[in-house]
Amino acid sequence: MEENRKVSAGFRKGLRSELHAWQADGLITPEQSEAISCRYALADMSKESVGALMFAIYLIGAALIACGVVSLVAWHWNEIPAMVKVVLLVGATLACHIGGFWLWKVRATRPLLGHGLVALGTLIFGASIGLLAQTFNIHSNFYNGMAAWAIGALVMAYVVGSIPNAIIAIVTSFIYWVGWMDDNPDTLCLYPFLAAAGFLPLAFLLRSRWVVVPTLLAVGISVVSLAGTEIGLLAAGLAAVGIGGLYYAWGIQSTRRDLDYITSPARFFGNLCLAIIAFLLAFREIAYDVPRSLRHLSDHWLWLVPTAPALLAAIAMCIFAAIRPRGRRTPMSPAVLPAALLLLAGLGSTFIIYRDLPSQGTGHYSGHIILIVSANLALLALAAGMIASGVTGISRLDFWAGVVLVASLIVSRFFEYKTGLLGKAAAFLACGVGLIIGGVAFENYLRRRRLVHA
Amino acid sequence: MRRITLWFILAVLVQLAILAVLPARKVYALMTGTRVFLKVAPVDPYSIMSGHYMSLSYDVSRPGDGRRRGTASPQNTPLLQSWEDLKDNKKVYVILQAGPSGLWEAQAVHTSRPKNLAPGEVPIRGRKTRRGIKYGLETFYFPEAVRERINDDLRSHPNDASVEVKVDAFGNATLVRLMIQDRVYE
Repeated sequence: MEENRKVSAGFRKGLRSELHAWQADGLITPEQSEAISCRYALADMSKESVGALMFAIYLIGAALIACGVVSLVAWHWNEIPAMVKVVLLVGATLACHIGGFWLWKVRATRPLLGHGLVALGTLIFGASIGLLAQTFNIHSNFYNGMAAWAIGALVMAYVVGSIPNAIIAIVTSFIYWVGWMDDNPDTLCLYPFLAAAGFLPLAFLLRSRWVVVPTLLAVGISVVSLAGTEIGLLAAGLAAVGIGGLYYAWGIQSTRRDLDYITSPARFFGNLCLAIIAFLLAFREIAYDVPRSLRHLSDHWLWLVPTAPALLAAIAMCIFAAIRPRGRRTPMSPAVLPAALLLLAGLGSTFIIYRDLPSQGTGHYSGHIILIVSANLALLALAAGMIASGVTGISRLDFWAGVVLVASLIVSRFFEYKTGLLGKAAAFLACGVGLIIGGVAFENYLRRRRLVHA
Repeated sequence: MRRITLWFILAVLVQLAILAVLPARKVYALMTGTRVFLKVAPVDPYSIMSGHYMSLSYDVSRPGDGRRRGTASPQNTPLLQSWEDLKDNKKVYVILQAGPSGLWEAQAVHTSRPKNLAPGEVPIRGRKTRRGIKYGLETFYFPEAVRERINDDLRSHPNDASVEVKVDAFGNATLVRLMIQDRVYE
């Protein structure tokens, strides 16, 4: 049974140190200790950490060599004929790939070194693309080269199951998208869909948080940015609520520990996405600008391409998570749904009130106050939810994240609105003292819980 | 042979195919193209990825600019005066012909590949952009060692820079060398 793949390294480390203490205290027999040790492969931990260290060394070495190759290409060594240069780099790419594959998969004598060499092969493949542009004076936008690099790295990542290749593919594809969007701001872009279709199955295949995190970031950032390019913050806000809701609902739809590599980052980024958009929209100046973006709404439809699927997918995922039996889904934070609904209500009301804005000219408007209030309430709800889940789930991280959110909300509002210095002083003092009292109370609560359990 | 080995060979072939496809048009133009000389107006940015290069623009990047006062009739020079009205990213074919100085000049602009060209006329394919017509000839890479010399040459002879280009039968073009007065850079 591969239980060691289903739990975190931290859990296994703690368990290994506790096992000795439990055995010494007579809580478990040596046989039971051995059985637990076997179940979680605790004996292999030293080997695994040495392996991880060696792999990191090989990868850093590969990255340094790749930097050297890129610099060499950039130096444009002119004594060597163009074709020889091409043959040299293509040969180096092939040598790294074939040698790496041999050591990793065929002979399997030095798998870590072999894997590092395959990653180096893909890095040199990227350098070769730059060299070809240089040798043949290919005039093309740099991001097209990044797209070619991403395709090569992605194929290799799928075939050999390589996390470094997957990361190269995600990063280069994201750079491609940034460059492309800068040059084609008003053009249909399918990058978020292609990124999700290309990288999410890879993340499942490799069962790696290192692949999940950049994938969630690439998809989320591209969806929100594309939505916001055309009609500004209103669409970006809707898309962010969609992506935040989708990620969060995805993160809570399962309690399986072997899916923690994907559900845990999804929950985190879902919360983060909602918190960022609520924080931004809570500012008076930003909220005031939201209706302006609706002036030319009838001329635009591209913002719907990322926004509508994000919202629909979020709704579908929420329904899926809601109908799962209680024991098979992670309990939902009581604040996330109200926060998302508050944001949607604020943005939706702004849309309804101002959708005819072009006909109203450029006069002053005040309907954005609904958006400001709903965003502030959403932020407060998220913070309260984090603090509550920190207390009930005994998680210091959640608790302090919620506290920081409340503090940032209060500080932002006080700097934003002109109030008397006495009022500011009183508010800061009250918040500071309240924060310390709350922190002490929480620590005391943690201590009591530990005492009770002991 | 194990299945993973076959897949691995396929993945390596995909990478090699990408490397082969990228310069394919340029190589074909180099091997089969007609030699054309164009007058340039260069600038000199720096690229971390590909070393030193110049961004070039040409007289033919804005066809018609030098001919507005000329005698060519609109019937013989379709779109020469009105190509700027085309949509951005629109594919165009610019007809080139050697001028008296040996440098080639734009005679006409077409939105499809022209047939029945007169002897000495060469169609070159480009795309209309906000900054003129781009032919894929706008970047010239050079070794780090000659950077200062190119800069000095350009400062000394700003109006004497030209490039040799090869244009294939499909209108694809590739840059062969840069010439500044009597000095050649490849």
